[in-house]
Amino acid sequence: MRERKTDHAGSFEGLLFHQKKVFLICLGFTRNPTDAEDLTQDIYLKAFRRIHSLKESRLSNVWLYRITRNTCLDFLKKHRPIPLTEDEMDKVRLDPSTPESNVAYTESLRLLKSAIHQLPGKQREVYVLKEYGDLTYAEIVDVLKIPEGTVMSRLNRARQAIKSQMSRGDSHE
Amino acid sequence: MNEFKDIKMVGTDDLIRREKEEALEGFDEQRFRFTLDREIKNLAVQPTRFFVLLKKPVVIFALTFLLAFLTWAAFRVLRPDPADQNYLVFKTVLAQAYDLHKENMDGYSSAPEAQVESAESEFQWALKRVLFSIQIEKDPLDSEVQVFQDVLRRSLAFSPTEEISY
Repeated sequence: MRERKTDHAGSFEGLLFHQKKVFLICLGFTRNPTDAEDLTQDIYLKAFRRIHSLKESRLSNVWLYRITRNTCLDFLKKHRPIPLTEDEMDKVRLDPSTPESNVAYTESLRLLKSAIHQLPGKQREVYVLKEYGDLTYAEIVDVLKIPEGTVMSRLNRARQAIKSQMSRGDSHE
Repeated sequence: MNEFKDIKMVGTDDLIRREKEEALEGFDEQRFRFTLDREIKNLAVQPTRFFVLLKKPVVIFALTFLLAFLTWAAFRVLRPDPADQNYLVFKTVLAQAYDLHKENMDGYSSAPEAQVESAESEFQWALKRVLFSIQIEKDPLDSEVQVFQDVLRRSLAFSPTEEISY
């Protein structure tokens, strides 16, 4: 059956419904809201330029998430995330206006981001798509073009690695 | 001394949820749409990637070099072969010789038939001598010999009573 070309303008408007998810996926990869917003802009511009290649509107979200994942990976290749230094952390610790719970949150977040960053690439992308993008297993299967069992096992391994990393960081402190 | 010793680490799910909530609070959808619309409008007026590339000196240099190379290659390929040049020279010389011969033949129009045949034969033999002298050269160019053979064949086919067509 011949695939019908969709109305490009309508498809692009439809893609804008997913902007928050795209932003959150970018946040998961970059760990920085400013970079995430810039990347989201780039992703939508790419989608606008390539919208003519979209054949089926029902797959537009998967298509968009695939662009998101690829753009984020390209970004990470160029901008290796720099972990917070001890001095930067000390600033948080010594700030008397910072409530203890906020300090704990900041420290835990730092550990989490570090743990996500240390994940193998394949596990990290599954973890980010699931935990930050709230994508379903079926959507992740379509985006990454891997079997559902693989998605589940990678996600499980990623969660375990992060848990282990977090508890190690916790005991280290 | 470490203040974190007694602070319980926040759960991963809560951390991610809180991080997402805070990030979304800072994410202004209207500003995002405004910036995106502006960028999309800019896309329409931006020159195509090819013209942007043309502004780079390296690309200009590469294109100039490529153009020069193509011109040189085209000149090499399309330049007439020396043998072809000889062909043209021989053809011109023989055509002139033939015209001269034809004028002479016209002068024989009232002469007896034997005399006409004699003049015709003399021209043919002259051409054969030229051809023979080329053929016995050490390295005769095939094309040159071929030219002479072609012209000679046409000359031999000449008959004073026939129309000549070039």
